Amino acid sequence: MNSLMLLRSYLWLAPAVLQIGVLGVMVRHKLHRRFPFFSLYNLECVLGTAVTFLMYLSPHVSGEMWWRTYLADTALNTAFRFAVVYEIYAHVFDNYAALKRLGKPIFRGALLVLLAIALVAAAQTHQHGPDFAMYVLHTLEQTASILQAGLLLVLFLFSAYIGLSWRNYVFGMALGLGIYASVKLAVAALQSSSVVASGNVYRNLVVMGSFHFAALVWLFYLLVPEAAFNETNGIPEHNLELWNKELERLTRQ
Amino acid sequence: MITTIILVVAAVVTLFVLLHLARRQVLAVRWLQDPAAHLRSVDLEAFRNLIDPGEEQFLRAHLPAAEFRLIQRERLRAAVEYVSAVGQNAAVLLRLGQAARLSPDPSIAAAGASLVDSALQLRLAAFRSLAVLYLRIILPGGHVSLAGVAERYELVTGQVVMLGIRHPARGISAAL
Repeated sequence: MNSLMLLRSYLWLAPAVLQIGVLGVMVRHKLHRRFPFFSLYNLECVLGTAVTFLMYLSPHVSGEMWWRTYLADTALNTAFRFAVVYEIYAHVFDNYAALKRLGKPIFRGALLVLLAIALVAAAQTHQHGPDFAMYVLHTLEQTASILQAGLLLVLFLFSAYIGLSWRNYVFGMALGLGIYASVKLAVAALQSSSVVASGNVYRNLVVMGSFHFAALVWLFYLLVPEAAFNETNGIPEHNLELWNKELERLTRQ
Repeated sequence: MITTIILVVAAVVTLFVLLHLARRQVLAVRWLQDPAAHLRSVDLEAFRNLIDPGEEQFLRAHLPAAEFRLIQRERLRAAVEYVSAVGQNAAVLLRLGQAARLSPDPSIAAAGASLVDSALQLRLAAFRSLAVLYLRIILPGGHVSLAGVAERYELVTGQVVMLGIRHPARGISAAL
């Protein structure tokens, strides 16, 4: 086995091991009840990896059968990622009474704009090479990545502007997914381009590497402790009184 | 080819934005150690004066139109500074409230939740107010009410005082 194959096998299997850890931490903290889609997504990834890897090793499985299984796994995976993005939106907005009404309009508005961009981008891609199925797959991957990366970017920018601080695990979920979707978008765009059609092996390694990084991010943010409200800093008494007087004076105006 | 370049650049920019925000999330932990250092001083009385419709009417009645527009623009620019400071303070208070909301002490958690709600409303109100102020700078003759910002700010800062009484945090109420 050469080093490239070794690296590919590692990047294929290691994320699944990390995701088992993610699932374990989520179950231990009962987070699987609050984030059912993220839990199912991780479970699907682990099972998908196990099945496709074992089929890849088996001499009884034909290339076409493996390919069909891989496509089904990819489709299921992509659908789950959309569900996870929606789950993150719902969690962030439902957590604040003042923002509850804004969540759905922002999600729908961003989705419509991104869908328009994705459709324009898809219309610009051309089939290169004889494999129509690969062309369709890359175009769909590009479309899905535009939507997912875009939706997460909108959510991150909105939160950053308003000043929302997320719970670590939610931030980690969104960050990991966002990084993976961004890398996937860049790679899918390159794969859809007729100019740079070669080098698919390396591009696949980049995508696999980004997924490995995403799994590390999920596990890290699930394990890192939350920022605590500082209980030790005191406030000088006279400051409070001054401020109370100021408020009192203002309410009398 | 152009589409590919645009998409790759967009993906790389998204990646950098996400990593930058991840860094900010780490830095936000340090914010909580001394939130007062990030607050800007706001003179509520001066702000109320700037957005007082009576004051505006007085100036309009006693100044030539050209001079009124000039002065009104200056007043509005000053109001933008105030609203920006109020918005920034609301963001700091929001972070403080969010951290307090996770406190195991139910009274602190409740005060934190209340602070989060009001700070969030103020943040959104400040955003809307900035849009209105910029519109009025462009069209100084029009009238748009901004009274809600001052009231919300008072409400939020009052809640900080309540949070401070229950759970002191250095210098916050002094800075507001």
